[in-house]
Amino acid sequence: MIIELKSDHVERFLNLCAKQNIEIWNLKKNHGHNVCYMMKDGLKRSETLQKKTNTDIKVIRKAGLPFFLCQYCKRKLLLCGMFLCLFLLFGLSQFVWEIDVSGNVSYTKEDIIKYVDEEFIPLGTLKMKVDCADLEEQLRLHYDEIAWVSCSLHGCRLSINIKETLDKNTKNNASKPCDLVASKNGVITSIVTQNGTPLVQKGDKVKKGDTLITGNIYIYSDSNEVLETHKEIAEGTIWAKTRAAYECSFLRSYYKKEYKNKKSYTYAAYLCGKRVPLMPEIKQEEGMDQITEKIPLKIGKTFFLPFYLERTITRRFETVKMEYGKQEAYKEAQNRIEKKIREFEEKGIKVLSDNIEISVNDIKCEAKGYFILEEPIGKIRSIRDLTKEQEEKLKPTEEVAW
Amino acid sequence: MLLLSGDVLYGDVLIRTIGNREVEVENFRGIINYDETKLILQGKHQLVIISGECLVILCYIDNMIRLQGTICDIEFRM
Repeated sequence: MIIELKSDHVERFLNLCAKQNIEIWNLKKNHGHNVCYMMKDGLKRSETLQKKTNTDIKVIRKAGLPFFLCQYCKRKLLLCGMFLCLFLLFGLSQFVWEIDVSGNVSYTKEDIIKYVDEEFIPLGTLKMKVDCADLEEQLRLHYDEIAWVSCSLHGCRLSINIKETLDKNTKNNASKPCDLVASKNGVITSIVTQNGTPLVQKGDKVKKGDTLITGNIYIYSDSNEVLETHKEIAEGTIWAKTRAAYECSFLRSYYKKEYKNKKSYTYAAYLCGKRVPLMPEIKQEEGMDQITEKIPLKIGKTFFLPFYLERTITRRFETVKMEYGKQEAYKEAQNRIEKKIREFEEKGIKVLSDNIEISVNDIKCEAKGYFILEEPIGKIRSIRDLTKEQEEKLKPTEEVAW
Repeated sequence: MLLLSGDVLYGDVLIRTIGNREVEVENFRGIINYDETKLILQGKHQLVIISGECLVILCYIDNMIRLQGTICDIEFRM
C-alpha cells in the first residue's frame, strides 16, 4: 500500500514501527508530505502507534494480489476465465509439444524428429505415455551409427541426445574374430596393438588391403613350431602417412546476387500441427529468396505451448555477372584449399603438408596437387590365414635356451 | 587478545556507502530528523548527519536504514 503520513512527529512513528518490525520502505518527502510503502498487515499493527504519536495515515493506492483479488472478486466471468486459463495451462503442460535432438553429425535433426514423430511420439502425446527407455532402444536399432542415446523429458520438451560412432565407415565393434587391414596406401607412423599380432611396424610401406594386425595368435613351442592358433578380434590404433589428391577448378566469371533493401515479412500460425496463414502469402518466384523460421511460443524455458509462429522473410535480388581478377581468383583458390584443410582437421586427420599448384588463365582458375596426411587407416576385415612369408616373419628367430 | 571491531566493543555506528548514491547505516538508535536534504540519526555516542539531495529512505527496519540519493556529506557530532 502507498500511504501518506501526517504528523508533527513522523520520525517517532517511524522509530516505533522499526522497533516493532513493521516494515516501511521507499519513504520520500513529496511537497512536504511523507509518502511511503507499507504492508496491509503492518498498517493494522501500527494502529496503536498512530494513536500514541498522533499520526494520521491516508491510503493513496492499494496494490498487490490481495487487493487485486478483492477488486475483481465480483466479476465472476473474469475469475472463471482466469481459472480456466490456469486449468488449460496445466492441462497443456501434460503433453509433449517439442522434440529436440542434439549431438547428431551424420543424421539430420529433421530426419530423427520425423522418425520419432511418425513412429513413436507424435506431438501432443501425453507425457505419462512416453517410455524413454523404449524410445532409446528403438533409436539404437533403427540408426546403425548411433553409439549412445539418451532421451529425457524436460517440461513439454522431449530431449534426445545422441552420440554417433567415431568413424562411420569403419565398424570397430566386430563380434567375430577379424583382422585389421589398411584402408589406404601409406607409410606407418605409429602402431599400438591392443589385441592380435602386429604384422607391420613403424616406417613400413603398406598398400590398401594389406593386413596390419592379424587376429591369429600363434603359440610356439620351444623349438619354434606352432603349437596352437587362437583366433581373436584384432584391435589397435594404426596411424599412417597418406597422400590425398586434390583438384579444384572454377570459372573466373560468376553470378552474384544483389539483394534489394526492402524485406517483406509474412506470418502464419501453427495450431496443434495445422497451419493457419495470418497474412496473404507471397509466392516464391525467380529472383526471390525466402527464409522461413519457426518461433515456438513458450512459458519459461521448457513449457512449450502447441502454438508456433512461422515467419517468412522474402527478399528480392538481381543477378549480376561478376569476374574474379587474377589475384582474386588466386585468393579464392587458396580459400578453397584452406576450407579443405579445415574439413580434414574436423575429421581428426592431421595435414602434414601440401603440394598444390594454382594456375589462373583467362577463363578459369585451377588448383591441382596433393596433401600429405596422417590418419588412422585400420579397417576390419574377416579373418584370413597368413601367407607363408608372413608366417616366417612372425616366427621367433632364436630358440629359447633354458 | 581478541581483535574485535568498534561496533561490537563500543557500539559504534556502522556505515557503508555505494559511491555517493547509497548509504547503509547499522547499529544506531533511531531517526531524529528526516527531510529531502538531511537525515539525522542517533548513535550510541554521537549524532550522524547525512546531507545530500533527493534523499529517499529505501528501507528502514530495526537497527538498519538504507538511504538513496546524492550524498554530499556525512558528519559526526557529539
